[in-house]
Amino acid sequence: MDDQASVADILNGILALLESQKVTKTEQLAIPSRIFNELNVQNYPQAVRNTVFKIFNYLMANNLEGVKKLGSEFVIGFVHIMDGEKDPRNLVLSFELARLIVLNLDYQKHAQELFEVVFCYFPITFRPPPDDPHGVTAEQLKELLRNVIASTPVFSKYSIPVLIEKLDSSSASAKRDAMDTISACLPVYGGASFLEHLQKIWEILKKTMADGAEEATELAALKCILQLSKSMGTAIVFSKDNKNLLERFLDIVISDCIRYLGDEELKYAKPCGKILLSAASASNTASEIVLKNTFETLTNNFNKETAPAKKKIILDVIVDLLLSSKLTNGTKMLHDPSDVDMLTKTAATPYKEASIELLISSMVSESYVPIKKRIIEAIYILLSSKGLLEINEVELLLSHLNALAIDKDQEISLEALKYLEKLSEEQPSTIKASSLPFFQDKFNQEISLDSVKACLNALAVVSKVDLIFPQFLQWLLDTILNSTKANTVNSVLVFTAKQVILARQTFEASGNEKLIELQGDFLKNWINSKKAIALLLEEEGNLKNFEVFASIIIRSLNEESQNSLVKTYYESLDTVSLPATTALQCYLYKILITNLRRSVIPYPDDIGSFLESFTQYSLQHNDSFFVQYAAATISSIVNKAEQPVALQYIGYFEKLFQSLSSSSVQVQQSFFIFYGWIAKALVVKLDPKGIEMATVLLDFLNDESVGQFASDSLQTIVHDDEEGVLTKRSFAITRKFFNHCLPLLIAKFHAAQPSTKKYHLLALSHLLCNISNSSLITELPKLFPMLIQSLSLDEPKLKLATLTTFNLMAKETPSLLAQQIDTMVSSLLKMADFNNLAQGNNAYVRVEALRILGLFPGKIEFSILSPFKITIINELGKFLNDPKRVVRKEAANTRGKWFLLVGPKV
Amino acid sequence: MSTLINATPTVYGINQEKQEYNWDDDVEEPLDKDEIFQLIRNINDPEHPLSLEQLNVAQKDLIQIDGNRILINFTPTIPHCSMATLIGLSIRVQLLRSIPSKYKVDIKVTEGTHQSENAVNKQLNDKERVAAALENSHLLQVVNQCLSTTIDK
Repeated sequence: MDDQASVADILNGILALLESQKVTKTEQLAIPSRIFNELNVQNYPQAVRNTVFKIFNYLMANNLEGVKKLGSEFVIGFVHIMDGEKDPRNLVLSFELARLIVLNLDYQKHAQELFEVVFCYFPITFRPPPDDPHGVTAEQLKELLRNVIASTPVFSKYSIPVLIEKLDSSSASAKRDAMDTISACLPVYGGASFLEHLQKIWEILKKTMADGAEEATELAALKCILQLSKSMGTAIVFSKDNKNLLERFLDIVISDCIRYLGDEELKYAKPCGKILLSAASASNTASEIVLKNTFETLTNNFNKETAPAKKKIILDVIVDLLLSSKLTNGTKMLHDPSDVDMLTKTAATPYKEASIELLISSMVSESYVPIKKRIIEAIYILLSSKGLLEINEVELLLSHLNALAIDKDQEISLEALKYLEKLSEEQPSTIKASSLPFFQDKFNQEISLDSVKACLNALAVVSKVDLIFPQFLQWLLDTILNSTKANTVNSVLVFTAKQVILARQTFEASGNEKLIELQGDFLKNWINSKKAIALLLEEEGNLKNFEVFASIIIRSLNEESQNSLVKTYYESLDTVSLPATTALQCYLYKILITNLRRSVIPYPDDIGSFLESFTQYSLQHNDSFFVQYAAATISSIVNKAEQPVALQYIGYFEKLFQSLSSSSVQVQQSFFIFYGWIAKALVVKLDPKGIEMATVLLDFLNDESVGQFASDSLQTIVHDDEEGVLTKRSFAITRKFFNHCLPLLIAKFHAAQPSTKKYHLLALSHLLCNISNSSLITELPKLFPMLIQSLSLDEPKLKLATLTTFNLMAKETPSLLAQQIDTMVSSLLKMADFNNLAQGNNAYVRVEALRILGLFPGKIEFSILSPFKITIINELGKFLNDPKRVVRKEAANTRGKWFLLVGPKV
Repeated sequence: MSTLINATPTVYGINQEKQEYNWDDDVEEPLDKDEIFQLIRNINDPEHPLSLEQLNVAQKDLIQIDGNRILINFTPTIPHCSMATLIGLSIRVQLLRSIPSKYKVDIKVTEGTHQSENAVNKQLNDKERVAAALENSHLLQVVNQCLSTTIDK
């Protein structure tokens, strides 16, 4: 080791030998002393020092008993080696070594040296260079160092004074580090060690909180207070006045807080509330002491105060106190109807009656919504506190919470529902017994649609859990089957069914056999009831909602239940032979085949001729509702059927389609509806025939008589169904379809005669609406001329679709827009004008146009925009007069942005 | 560093209710005080990263509309607040920019909440004085700073 040049290799060799386990334990122990004696480690480069630390680490991990024997020799040797270390990678190793030394070796003789060599790094100010390849972070170092300082109470006499000094540091990071370190030391050192510094620490923490420090610092201070309160509570030192440490600490805290809380301006009330919550949450005793000393004063202050905002601040503190009691006693969980909550003496017990009275009376007397919301939270805290409330108290508070959950003020009802939902998870049996009947009764009594909606929504929210769900579902079905309510109410019932079943699906990922069976029966009973079925057509949207939940249910059923469902379906039909008699039954058939397992699908024996006769029947039927559903049904069959069946049918349809030109307009429309659905069935299963059909469709855009139908048809193909109908297609499929159609469409657009350009643009907007942004961005340059032309048509939908694309361009490829800034500005201004309402500039279009204009200042260079600034500001001034508020808001916002556009500072 | 006029103002909650809009072009919606409040609530205080709503400087109930006349009262956080004029000026500029010029807007300190109430009111409602103030590019920059937080809210 005399040869400096080879030291690195020698040490690496030693490490390798150690790791290959070729060195006996006795031989190993010779290594540290030789290193201590013969190497001045800190004179060597980082890599060498690193190897030394690794060797020590290896020894500590694998030969601890041996190292223990070396005892203080090892400790002092390590201290010398570590002294002056600056490399973060080495510090990571040496901090860890120091901690292991404290835990395992006899270091007492050198405690101070060891402490000093480590503590000199506090607080860590290390900032890793950008792209640091070594990956050592400041946080990592801070934590390792903190672990060493907090590893033994022996260090306390050295560390506490210095930590307190750092606590007062003006650097937020150092301050935070000191607070975190004190928090870590408290449980190890014990509260008594901090006794003489208590007042000083408290003053600093208090000041930190009062100064409104950043959130992380505040949290660190609160954690420190919590730890202080905890450690003082476990210390067994009594002072002269016979008060234990906890009482002494809390005395200081409480008297200060009470003073601030009594201040008229309530400037420090918020931090005081947080401080009291932290101090009280440490233990039941702490919570008791805090409540005993503050509760009455606070409630008096609350009752005396008249300004709502200030009342709210005081209430916040009261609620925090109740919360501290709950935190130290636990949350009440009653999962089984036989569970009982045993009353215990919690910190809040002596104050519960006063609290309940305060909450309930304020709920009535206060009108300030933030206060009401806080009261709701407080009610929840009481209800969920373990061992606190008697049964009659629970009933009382719940009855208030229930009523609030259907309050007319939505902010309040949402808040109450949020906590009822929590309770339904924590104490389902309580909610089942109280809230369920309450909302059901209300539903039966209420007449106004809004109240009915509120009741059903509340029921849906609290019924998600296993214990409540079956009963609720049964009630829902009974209500639907026996409903004498208005159509609008029935439609809310259907909607609610969808909500709960969707919610169940996400609430519980794995299948619960019993519940699945229950839902299956629910669906069967629905299909079986003529009344429930007829209800689906009462209101727009019923059928879609039904489809969503029916699909979920069907897919969750096993084969046997699916078969039984199909049987039910057939029994419900007036005639078993398809084509079904009504569009609705036909649609039910579609829902079934879309979601059933292949083996269960009830194809008619001769599916080929069924498809053909069904198609012919539908095309003759000039009911557009029926044709849509029939086409969707056929589409599902073609999508699922065997290849030969599908091919044969498509051949048949294409032949039929040739009679298009000789058909009436209505039949032509039906033809295109079918065409779109059939092509869709093929496109989603990646059949090349699908793209072929779509290509033919593009040609029809240039036909004045059917161009509109053809573009609708294209929409059917690209539009993604709602959940549960056809499987959501993959990104790749959409992308492929888009890549095929777009260039064709652009070419055909340019070649098209003027009268049919419109249909091409419509088709384009359908494509644009259904493609992901990332695919779209690369195509934008080619699309630009077409898009500009779209804006000149008087179709609001088309305009909106185009504007959405321009919005994307403004965000993603602003330079493209910048090239055409003249055209863009003038056409956007035209579209934002409500005087041009007749040209399809509805409120949506105007808002979107204004929004895009507002994107320019952040995205396009000042030099390009500045010539337009005055004009745009003047023009936008006119739109502040728009009859619609939503437009005025956007106009004001956009105008504000242009005013703020002042260019680079010179 | 200059000291702050009011270093630790009381912070109030804000109304986080989501706005719902009517999109039907057949229904006209006249300007109301809620709309005015939405325009000024997010203006930033010159001293703190807090909005006028958070400081209770602007309140919906302190706005009155009568035909084409609008009266806006605002409440400085402390009676000797030297920022009062600047806050009023920010409200003035924001409304110049965002409501039609047909409205005549008066902006006043809530009665009894400021030592030099009259002076501030005079300054804020004198067209020429406002115009002159905005000629000052530094002042305009400060106002723009206060208004930048109203964007995209």
